Amino acid sequence: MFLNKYKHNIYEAIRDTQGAFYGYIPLGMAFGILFQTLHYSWYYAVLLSMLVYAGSMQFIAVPMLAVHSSLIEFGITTFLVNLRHVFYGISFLDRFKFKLFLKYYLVFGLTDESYSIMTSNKSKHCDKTYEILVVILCHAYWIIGTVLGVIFYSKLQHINLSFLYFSLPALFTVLTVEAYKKLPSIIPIFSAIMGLLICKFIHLSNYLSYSMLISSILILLCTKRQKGITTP
Amino acid sequence: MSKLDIYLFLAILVMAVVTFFTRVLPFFLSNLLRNHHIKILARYLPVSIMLILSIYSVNSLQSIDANYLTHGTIAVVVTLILHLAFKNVLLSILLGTFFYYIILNYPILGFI
Repeated sequence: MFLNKYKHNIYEAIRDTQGAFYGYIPLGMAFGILFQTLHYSWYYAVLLSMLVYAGSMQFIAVPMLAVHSSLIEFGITTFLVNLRHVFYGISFLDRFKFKLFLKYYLVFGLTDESYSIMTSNKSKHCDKTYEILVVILCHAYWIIGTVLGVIFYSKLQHINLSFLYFSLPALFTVLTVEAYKKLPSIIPIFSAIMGLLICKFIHLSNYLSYSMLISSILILLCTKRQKGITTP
Repeated sequence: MSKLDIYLFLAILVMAVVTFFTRVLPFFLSNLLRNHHIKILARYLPVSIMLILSIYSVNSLQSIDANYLTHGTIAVVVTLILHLAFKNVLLSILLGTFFYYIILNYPILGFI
């Protein structure tokens, strides 16, 4: 019954999330493997993918957990790394007419990927079932990828996989380039480097979250004169 | 539950709650989105954050690599070149990490 009624929706959701599938499975695997190099229980990796579901933050959490960063640092870092999410919701403000739980789940599941799938299909459907399926599928790909990574790691334990730590700088330099393409400005680069240098100068040992905070302030100071910025 | 388990659990909880907070915020405070400073930050911050994360993660290679600064910098430059050449996120990460594996385990060039 259910399948027949929603066959069309299911087909479309699977078709449209193909791109997310090819991205999330390998990236989720990379996260699973990387997390296991910490030698914590496997379920923490899966728990992160289930409850946090934010790629960049999950990846940077690995070295942060390794040095036992404080909860405050986790709070600040998570907030600033994910601040761009704030704007995802806008175009959905009046679209999410669901029961409470489903609504919050959809908001929770708004990632770069699911967001762009849903917005690119704006004209064709404003279909509830389609939207919820897109979010569920993307979330599932990410969790499945993580589980596969955890399994993969357990099979390869005898090999020294520490070089995989480099997937972090590799991921973030690539993302820096991609973010720069969207906003080719020297201000954020200058602010980041100044933030790091200031932290180094005053010998802050846990500099990740504080350099982000300082660079946020520097960005605001550097752009003080700019008015009338349109939303990204 | 050991102390470590409690720490891991709380850290994951903080990340989950704050991430959800950033996603749910505009639904309660749509005025916030008209705030000039928030707009500026959402626009400019990603480049800053990604650059800081890159440098932080090169630095965190020191736990596995005695020569992390040289190896890390060279491999980052190679990843950058690969990315500018092929423009494929996953491929750049994969090949970049493979390159790091090579220079970490086979110091063929002697000086690196």
